[in-house]
Amino acid sequence: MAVRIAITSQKGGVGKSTVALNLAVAFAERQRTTLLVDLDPQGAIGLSLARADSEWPGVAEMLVGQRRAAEALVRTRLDSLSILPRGRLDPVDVAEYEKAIYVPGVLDTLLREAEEGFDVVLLDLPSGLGMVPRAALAVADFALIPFQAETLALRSVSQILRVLDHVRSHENPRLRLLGILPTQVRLGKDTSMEVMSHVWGDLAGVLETVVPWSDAYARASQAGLPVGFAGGRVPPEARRFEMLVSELETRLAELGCMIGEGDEQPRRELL
Amino acid sequence: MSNRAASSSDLDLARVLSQRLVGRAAPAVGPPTAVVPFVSFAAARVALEPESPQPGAAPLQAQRFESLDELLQWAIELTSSSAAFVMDPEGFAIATRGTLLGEDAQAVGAQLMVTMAEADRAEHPGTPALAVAVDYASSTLTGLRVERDAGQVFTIGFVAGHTPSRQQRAAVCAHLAHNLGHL
Repeated sequence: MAVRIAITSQKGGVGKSTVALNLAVAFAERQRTTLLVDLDPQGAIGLSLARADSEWPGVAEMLVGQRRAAEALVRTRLDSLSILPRGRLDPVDVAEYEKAIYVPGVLDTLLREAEEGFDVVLLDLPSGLGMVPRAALAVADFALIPFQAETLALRSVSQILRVLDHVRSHENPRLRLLGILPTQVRLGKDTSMEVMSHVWGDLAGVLETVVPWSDAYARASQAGLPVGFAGGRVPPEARRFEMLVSELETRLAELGCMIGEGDEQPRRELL
Repeated sequence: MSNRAASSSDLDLARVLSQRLVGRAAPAVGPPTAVVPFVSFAAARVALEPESPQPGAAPLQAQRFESLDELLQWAIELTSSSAAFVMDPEGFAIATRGTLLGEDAQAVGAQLMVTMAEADRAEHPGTPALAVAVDYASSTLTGLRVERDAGQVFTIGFVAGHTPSRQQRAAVCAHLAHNLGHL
């Protein structure tokens, strides 16, 4: 059964879609069958991969019954990674899209159809605490919070934690905080480090892996690629996501959740 | 989370919540740093809930269940109920999940059907009541009717701390109607 991880943040611009895309790639390169679902009405995953707004059918078409999941899934050149795009959503209809997703049972039904055979389902969400994040948290197993290392994010982090707590108490007792992932960390900058000292000192669930601020993400986005796909030596930014997957799988195991078949392998002979 | 007087910039609150959410024992929530309470939209939601589905809302795609037990388990999770059961047109409990088992479900279900029959009298002549909600111990017992073929009316009951929302009720009825044919 697939593990659903919602990537969510109350604040915009923290790197949710960058995290979602590169984390999906890292899971897939670890041979976890991975489905990346773009629930963001902006279609941030498609935009990150330099796709036109109306290129891929996806969630929007499934919501109105025009496509089945099998017809909407995009297979990537990574055998283990598929994408369920947002779909051809007219920006004028975003409010209707959000209301449709918020109807109880709809998103769960949609995901059940799409996630058959996958180990991990990553839900890329719009920023904020509105209908789409609420609907996703109501059906997710875990929440991963990208946390931009800056003052405004620190001041507002209790908002998303409060929503998680509410959803867990009233709507989805399965929901757990998988971790708070510091992003855009500038270790040489005083304000960034001051925020991080608060985060590390005050909050529980902060992951050891951090994603430093880097131009590499902007360059990758410009090329429409995950950060490790530009050729040449594997950049340290891609290594970060390999580390992140290791840490998340350890954390999931601590919470009693094994992904795929774990790290077991058959006995082998060396000589 | 009942404390609506906490500031969203309250790092102490964030600390407590983060500890609770990762599964560690959380200390008691301390006094909020701000005294301005939040407006409670949740309490006002019942009044704001539309009487009919929103135009443009996607039609619900009913999923197929392999048994009534499976369907009831889904409905329990959807409605956050402690128990659910299905009564056939003859008044027999044919499936039950949750805290009401066997004879208990049969007894409560039979009384629910009688209650719904009484409610029919309050409706326009010839228009059966589709749903009723009554106090049940410290909970609410909600009954919904679903028609299969002509005159074959099944009743599904829920025991919960609240009445399922209109959208939840519609979803349950749609799924039950969709699945009754093969279950």
